[in-house]
Amino acid sequence: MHDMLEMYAYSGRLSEVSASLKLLVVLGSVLICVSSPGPLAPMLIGITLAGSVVAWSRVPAGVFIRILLIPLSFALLSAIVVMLMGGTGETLFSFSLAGHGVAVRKGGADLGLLLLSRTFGGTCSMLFLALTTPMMEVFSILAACKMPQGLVELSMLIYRYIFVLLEEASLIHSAQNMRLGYAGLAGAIRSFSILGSVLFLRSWEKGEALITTMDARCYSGRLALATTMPISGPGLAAALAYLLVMASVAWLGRDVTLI
Amino acid sequence: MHIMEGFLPHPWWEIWFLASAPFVIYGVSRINQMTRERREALPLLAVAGAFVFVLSSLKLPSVTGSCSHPTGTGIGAILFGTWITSVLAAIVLIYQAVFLAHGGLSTLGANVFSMGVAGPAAAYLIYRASSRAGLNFYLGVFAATAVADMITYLVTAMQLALAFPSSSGSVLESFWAFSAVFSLTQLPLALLEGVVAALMFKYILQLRGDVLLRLNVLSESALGRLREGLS
Repeated sequence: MHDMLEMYAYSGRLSEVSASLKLLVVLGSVLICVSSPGPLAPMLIGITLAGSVVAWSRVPAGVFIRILLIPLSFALLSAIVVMLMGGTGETLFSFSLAGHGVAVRKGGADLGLLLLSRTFGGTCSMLFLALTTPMMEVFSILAACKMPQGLVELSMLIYRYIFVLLEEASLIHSAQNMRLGYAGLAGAIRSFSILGSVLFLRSWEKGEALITTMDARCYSGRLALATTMPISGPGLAAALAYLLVMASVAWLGRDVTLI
Repeated sequence: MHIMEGFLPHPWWEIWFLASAPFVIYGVSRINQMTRERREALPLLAVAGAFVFVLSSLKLPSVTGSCSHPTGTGIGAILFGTWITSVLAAIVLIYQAVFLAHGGLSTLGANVFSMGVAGPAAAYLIYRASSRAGLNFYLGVFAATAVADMITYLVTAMQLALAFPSSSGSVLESFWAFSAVFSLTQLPLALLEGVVAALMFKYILQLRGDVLLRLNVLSESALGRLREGLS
């Protein structure tokens, strides 16, 4: 899964655009989504960013939708609670649950849908970043923004080892699965615990080996980072125009509701 | 239990950023100090962070039929302490947001507070209290991990309830509703992660008890006693 996302990040046409510019678009979109008073702007941001990823980054639409559905299903659960709990106005429909009358009012339904649209827009923005920007470029930006050196290095090493350990975990999991380790709940719990403990010990040993490796390569307490691509003038203008249009949609569509 | 991107309205997402910032900043300064004093600390912290990420991305054996992942932060807190776990959890949450679109950037503060501050702090305190009281080691690990998970999801429910009080304006009413809905999936998950954590520590003890000694999870006498019990 992770390999796959990173692969798209390197291969698409948007990978040639400066990472700082993409980060600007994503941060701007996230802020517009979260502060938009109506559902129109977040929906539009979600659709445009998702569309640009599918059109320019060679991500199949099916893959994109599948990745998007997991976080949205979590948000749906909370949105339903908000719909049932809150709001004033006319009752849209009501039913009884375990002896309690439950009613969905207009205010609650509007709020729930607004939250869902914000989550949709925000999640699409995050996926835009994940699918178009290699992580290493984000680190360069962080370092250029004078984040603490130790934190950036720690993040880079964590990033590297996530893939090493994921590989390790999937090998152990396949080995256990082939030996029927996940047949039955008790067996599954036992196998999972063994997987976790072996993973911990493997990572510990890899950490110790990493010290030796880094020392052997004259690690002086600093890791070298590539410099980022410069921001192009037209690119910056396009990004700013996009954010400006979305912000105005958010402002003009502040009274629009979906119901 | 992540709060998804865009779900927390103004001013709540800013408030939770402010609430979790001091813990992460203090954690970063602790890590800086550690890496300055001991060069070998950085690689070990890195694999620890990767371990927490991978652990939290593994799928637990399903009980309720829903897709359930361990939080991993309870185990992290027992192994590495609260402060370091806060920083690791913050980095892991950023990765989950940026790679997988789980959680988000505007809700990062709230998620760091529930999963990186409240949960690990509870796990650490319970584990230390139980080992000081001389309780069974595995029981301590189970309780610390399970309670850390429950605290995490209760804090999440509280964060949502504060942002979305019920129509009568009652935060408490809304808190009950959110925690009731979450408890359907989170309560079995918490107990399961507790069992898994206790078993994990048993296997680590069998194979490399010295690692637990170096991380200061167990004292030498306690390690000897537990080893005897296993053999």
